[in-house]
Parts: sequence; C-alpha cells; structure tokens
Amino acid sequence: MTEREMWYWLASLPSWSGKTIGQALDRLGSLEAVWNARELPVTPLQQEEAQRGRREPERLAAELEQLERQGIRFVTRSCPDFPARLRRWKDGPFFLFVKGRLPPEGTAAALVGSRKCTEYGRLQAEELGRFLAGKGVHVISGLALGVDGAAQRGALQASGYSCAVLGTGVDVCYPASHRTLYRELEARGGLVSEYATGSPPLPYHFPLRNRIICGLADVVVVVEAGRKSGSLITADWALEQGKDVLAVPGRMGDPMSQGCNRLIRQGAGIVAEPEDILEALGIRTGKKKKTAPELSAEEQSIWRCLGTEPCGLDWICQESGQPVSAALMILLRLEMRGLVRQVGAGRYLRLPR
Amino acid sequence: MYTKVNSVAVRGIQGLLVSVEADVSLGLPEFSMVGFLSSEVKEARERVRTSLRNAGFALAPRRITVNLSPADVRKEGTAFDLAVALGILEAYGCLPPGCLDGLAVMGELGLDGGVRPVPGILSMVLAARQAGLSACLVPQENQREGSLVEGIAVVGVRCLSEAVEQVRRPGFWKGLPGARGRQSEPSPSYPVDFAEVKGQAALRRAAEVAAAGMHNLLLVGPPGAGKTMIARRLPTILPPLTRQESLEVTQIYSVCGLLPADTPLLAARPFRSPHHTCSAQALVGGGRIPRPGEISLAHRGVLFLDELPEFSQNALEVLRQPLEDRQVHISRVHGAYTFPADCMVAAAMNPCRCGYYPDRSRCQCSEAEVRRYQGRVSRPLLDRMDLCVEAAPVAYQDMQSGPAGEPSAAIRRRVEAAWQRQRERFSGTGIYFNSQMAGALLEQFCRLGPKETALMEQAFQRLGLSARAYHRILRVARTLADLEGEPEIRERHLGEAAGYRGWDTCGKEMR
Repeated sequence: MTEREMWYWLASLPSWSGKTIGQALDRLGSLEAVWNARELPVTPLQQEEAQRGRREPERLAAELEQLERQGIRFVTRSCPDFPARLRRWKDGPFFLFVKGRLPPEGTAAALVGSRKCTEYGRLQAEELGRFLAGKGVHVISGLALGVDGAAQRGALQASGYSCAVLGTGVDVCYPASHRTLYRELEARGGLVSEYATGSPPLPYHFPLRNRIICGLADVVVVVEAGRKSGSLITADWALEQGKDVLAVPGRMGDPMSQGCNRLIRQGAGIVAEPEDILEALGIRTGKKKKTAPELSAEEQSIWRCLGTEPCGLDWICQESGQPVSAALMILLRLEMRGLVRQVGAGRYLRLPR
Repeated sequence: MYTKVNSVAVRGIQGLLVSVEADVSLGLPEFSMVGFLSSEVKEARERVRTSLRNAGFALAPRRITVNLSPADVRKEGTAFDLAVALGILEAYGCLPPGCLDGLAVMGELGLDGGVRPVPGILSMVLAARQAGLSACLVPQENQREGSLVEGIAVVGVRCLSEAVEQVRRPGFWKGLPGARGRQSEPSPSYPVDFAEVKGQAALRRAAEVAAAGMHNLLLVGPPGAGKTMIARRLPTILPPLTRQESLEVTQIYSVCGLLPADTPLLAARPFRSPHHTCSAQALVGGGRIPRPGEISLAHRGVLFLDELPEFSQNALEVLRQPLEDRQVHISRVHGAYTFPADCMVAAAMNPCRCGYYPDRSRCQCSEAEVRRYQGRVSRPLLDRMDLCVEAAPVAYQDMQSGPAGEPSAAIRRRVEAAWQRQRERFSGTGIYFNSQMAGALLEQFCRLGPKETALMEQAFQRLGLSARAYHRILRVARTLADLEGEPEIRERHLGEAAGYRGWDTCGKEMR
C-alpha cells in the first residue's frame, strides 16, 4: 500500500471532509496509522465508509490508473508539484485532482463575485481579468456564472494563465453552460478540485472550495457582491489566511454592491482602477495617463449620456437631442470602435477603458 | 317531376357551385336527401317541410328525393335550405317551370318560413358570378354584403313566400335597387391614434419603419412600457385597404361569421391579438372542417402576439411556414384548403419572467432563468423578426405633460410614399414589400456602394453578425432609404438598421 493510494482512499470517501481528515491525522499521528486503525475517531457512518474502501486496496490502485488515463492528475502534499502556497497552510487541502496545469510560480490574484451580477460587474470582471493576465498575474476563480466566468474568460482572452477551483469533481463542468470555458481552461489553464471525480455540486462544497481559491492567490479581489454573496466567504478566508482583500466599489445604496461596499468600510482595499491591484501585489507600475477617446461633436453628445449602467435608446435620444435614426448610427460607430456595447434588445453602456 | 336549382357551398373561403336537384314522384310518402351531407344539411329536411307548410303551401304526400351535386364533395352549413324548398315547390309544379334558371339561391329557413342570414355570402356570390349566373337570391340581412360583388344582381328576401313571389316574375332582378353594383367606399376609422403615444421616440420610429416595409416587429421591454399600445396603433399608420384587399378581408370574415351586421365591407386594416393560450389550429387555421385561423383573420393587417414566450412551442412553430409563404395550406382527407395569410407580425415579450432584466436591482431572475425564458422563442422565429426594439418605461413627465405625439395620419403619409416606391421597384417580381426580399432580389435591390460595403464588413466582424442578421439589416436599410426617398442605401441607413438587430447580440452576451 503506497502513501499515494492511502491518500486516494481518503479522497474517495464522500463523507470525509478535509476537516475530518485533519482531525483523524492529528489524533492518530500519521496517514499510515489512519489506514491501519481499527477504530477511527469519526462518526459511525464515516467509519463504515472508510472500512468499505479499506477492504479492496487493489481497486484504489486501479482507480488511480484510470484517472491517469483520463488525463486527471492526483497530487498530494508530498508531491513536488503540489502548490507551495497550499502546503504551508494547516487548513489547506491534503490532495488535489488536477486537469490542465497547476498554477506556475508567480503572483496570482483571485477575482470573485456574484453569480447574479449586473452588466457592469460582468464587464469589470472581464476587463480586470484581461488586465491582470496581460501583466502576467495568474487569475484564480471558481468557473461560476457571472463574475467568476467573466474574469477567467478575460484572462484567457489576454492569453494569460487562469485556474478554476471547482466545487464539483474536476471532471464535472458546473454550470453546464460554461462548457466552452471549461474546455479552454483545461487546454490553456488549470482546473482544480479537492473532491473525487464525479462529485456533484453540493451546496456545502462551495464555501470550502472558496478557501482554496483564496489559498492559491496572493490577493483577493471582490468584483461585485450583494449582501449575502458567497464571494464574501472567500474574503473571510483571505483575512484568516492573512491575505489582502480588495473590493470594486459600487454605488451607494445599490443592492448589487452592498457586499463590496461593506468590505471597503471594514477596511478592504479599494479598486478605483486596475493598477490598484498590481500595487497590492507589489508590482510597480508606471501609471499611464488615460486619454479621452477622440470623438466628433455628434459622437460626444451621445457618449456623454452613456454610463456604466445600460441605458435605453429613448433616454439616450432625449438626453442627446439626437433623433433615433442618427443616434443608432453613432452608437454603431462607437460600438465598432469598442467604446460602447449593446446589451439586451436596445440598451447601451460605456465599456471600461 | 325533376328540377334543378343552383346554390353555393363554401369550402375554405372559396365558394363552390352546387346543384340542388329535387324530384317528386308517386310512391310511399318520403323525404330523403342525399349527396355527402353533414348532419346540419340533413336536418334541412325537417326545416324545409315545416316552413313550407307554415308559409301556406299544402303539399300532397309524395316521394321527394333531393340530391346535392357534385355528390362527392362534403356539404356543410345551412345555406341550402331555401334552394331545397324552392326546388321542391317547382317540382310540385307550384312555380312556373324554368323560373329558377340562371339563379343562385342561398339562405337558411326558420320553421315560420322566414329566411335567416348565413355566413360566407360574399364567397358564394363571387362563385355564382364566376359560374356566369345572372342573379342571387340571398337573405335580406346578407343583401348588402352580397351586392359588393359587381356584375351580378343580388336580391334579398325576408321569408319563403317573398322568395316565391319574386321568382314567379320572370327576370325579377332587373331594375331592383339591389341590382345596382358599386356602393360608396367607406373610409377606415380607428378608435386609437399615434397622437396618444407620448415620448417613446424609439418605439414610434420602429413602428413607422416596420409599417413602411411590412417588416415583422419584436418589442421587448418591462411590463407597462407601452408595447401593446404601440402594436394596437400599427394598423392606423398602414395605408388604407384597396377595394380588392377589402373584399379579400371581408370574404374571410364573412366565412367565419365575424362580419358585423352594419358593415358589409371592412375598410379598416385588421388587428388580431390572440391570447397566448391559443392553440396552433386557432392560430393558423384548422379543425376537422378547416377554418381560417388568426393569421388569416389578420390578412392585410397586423397579427399581434403579446407575451410571445408564453405561446405554446407548437403554436409558434406552425407560424413559420405561413410567415414565409404568406398563405396557409391545410390538407384533409377530402381535399386541400388554402387560406391567405399576408400580414405583419408584431410580437411583444418581456426580457425575463419578472420583466426587468437587465436591470439587476429589480430583476431577481438567475441567468439560467433568463436564458430559459428567452429560449422559449425559437431562433428560426426570431430570425423572421426584422426589427427588434426595446421598450423603455415611460417617464412620468412625458406621461403627464409631454406634447401629444405625431398623429397617425401624418405618419401614414410617409408610409404610403414608401409603399409607392416599393410597388414601383417590385412590379413584376411577385412581391410587394422590402420584407419579402430574399436571395437574388436582395442582391439586385440592395446593392451597396464601397463605403457602405466597408461599413457592413466591419460590422459583420466586430459585432459577430450571422448571415441572417446581415440580410435583415439590408432589408430594413432598404426600407429606411425608401422612407427618405433615397434611391441608394446609405451608411446612415445601415447604421440605423443595425441598431434594430437587437436580439441577435443578446444571446451572445448572456453566455
């Protein structure tokens, strides 16, 4: 019985959380002891499950081989390529299932936020992902809908490295609509999970996977979070691990930004511009001066009334004094220059620059 | 003795000449009717027998046989009663022989001998004229409707005895007031007007463009944003119906029994707004005996589908073919039916279940829910919507004190001019509107200059347009140019048209 197989045995027990494993190891002293122990310091259900796995040691080896064939690596703390950031830390995972590459050496930032985000949050996440990846910072996130997915997509667009920590088995794409992103991360980034292959997205998996997201990063950036967003849990983990938390500020009273604003009040750093994240990571930047886009008078009249919130065509026409036909033409030009974007059936917003 | 009277059956919306043959002979007294009859036609036996007696004809007991020919076409409706009664009277010798020649007789009988109105008179009279008959005897209530047809006399009767009195005089229809042909054209009047729409510049513009090219229009927006209000007013900015179009529309309504008693000729463009629980058959037509559906009732007008995603999948999918062909084909064991269905479709939908997406401070739907909601409308149907606009809620100031909008009549004048240009352009091609352009015609009439080509190329790449979206933009741009009276499509037309593609980008944004 190799040590690797014994770790895999623990990994394949669905009722054994990282905490249970940690306690058993503490109590019994070593992995070897846990494997051989007749009585485990766990609940009867967990005991029975462990017993069942122990009875067929040859199956563990076969399953490990099967994983290799599927292109899934099983790395434990004793493996040389286990992320150094997680190894040092007591509450960190003991093992990881990996598809693609594990985060290489270098600075990393976690970009997290609501699944149910506004168009503004999505755009900012994408933009921050792109910006950080462009500066060589790895983007760690959770593949979720909304902010997470947008940030990782942005990072991949800038040909950077991005790693998704999953709350399911590493071979499960959840949400299913992120299939394309999942495949791209497998090819050009990494997918990581501490849950055995095939694990379903159980609600209690996610707060725990957030601790790994935070563990893999040097700094946590909350892009958009409501009052009860799960990304606030990631921020809590960051504080526990002694990592910096930054938040993208929202408008006063905006329910979709309550979480972020509260973090700022509690002392989180503020992301007023993307460079602020680099600063928190200790990367020096020569701040470049932003130039306003060159616009004709007509374009200016439309550009002026657009904001980061999508606004309707009627409102744009009224504010700018342009007739509908002219306004649509100008908006198309601005859209093709990458300055605005149409969302929904006829709303427009300014793209972050 | 044997006699023959002409009557007309309605199949679909077409009239079909039917000969009602009656034979009275010695034998056991019996009254039998044959000729592939539905039960309401068979019941004519009882109605005719009783009404003849109550009209004062004491007929000796004889063997009466009535045949409706052609005997292999199923006969429906109650319009044969009067013809059967007159045929029997002639066969008994109560009428001068040959007095019913050259006449088509339609009408339902009451037991009191009264003649009741029947649906579909217009189609019947048209068929009678086509068959070369010289006059029609119809129920008095249907007389005005029947006399819309030129070149045939239409005489109304109130009861069986009046009908007998009339036919006893040879050539009775000559010189009757009903025989005079054309009546004065009624002008359309609508209870609503665009002047009542305040603000809503984007919606108004889209409505005008849609009307000018008969483009299908999709309105997306939160509840209470005025989607229905705009759609209701669409018929008011369409040019008035021509006489030929009026007749087509009236014919459909007449067959369905929906023609108001006081307006024999429909002058207003139809506006149909079926409820979203409507079945596929009710929408495009159908049933055991096929009847026109909502899309045919909206012929030459507007079919408004409110709450588009709430319609059953099936109902929406069957709309696709009629939208392409502008006709509905229905096949049954006993024959195929064709109904006209040339209408403009205006559809309204909320962007999500609660209606407020993408306003995240009010919309509580998850992304999956939004996508599921929008996914209920199939891509092929969305592809047939040339224009898509978002309806924004009206601001309070606009509602309270905003100036009245431009009245329908003014918009209609611009639309009429655009229609005229399209008529000239498309004469001889078999189509009438820009929205109907496809393939070769699109290439022929939407040729772009170098600047315009460059713009479209850039837009195609930057915005990730599909080929279908590209064609939609071209069609709408052509209409925009027509509205301006511009012979060529310019950049500004393409730019505006691209602004109405709307929905195409939505799916992409919401990955």
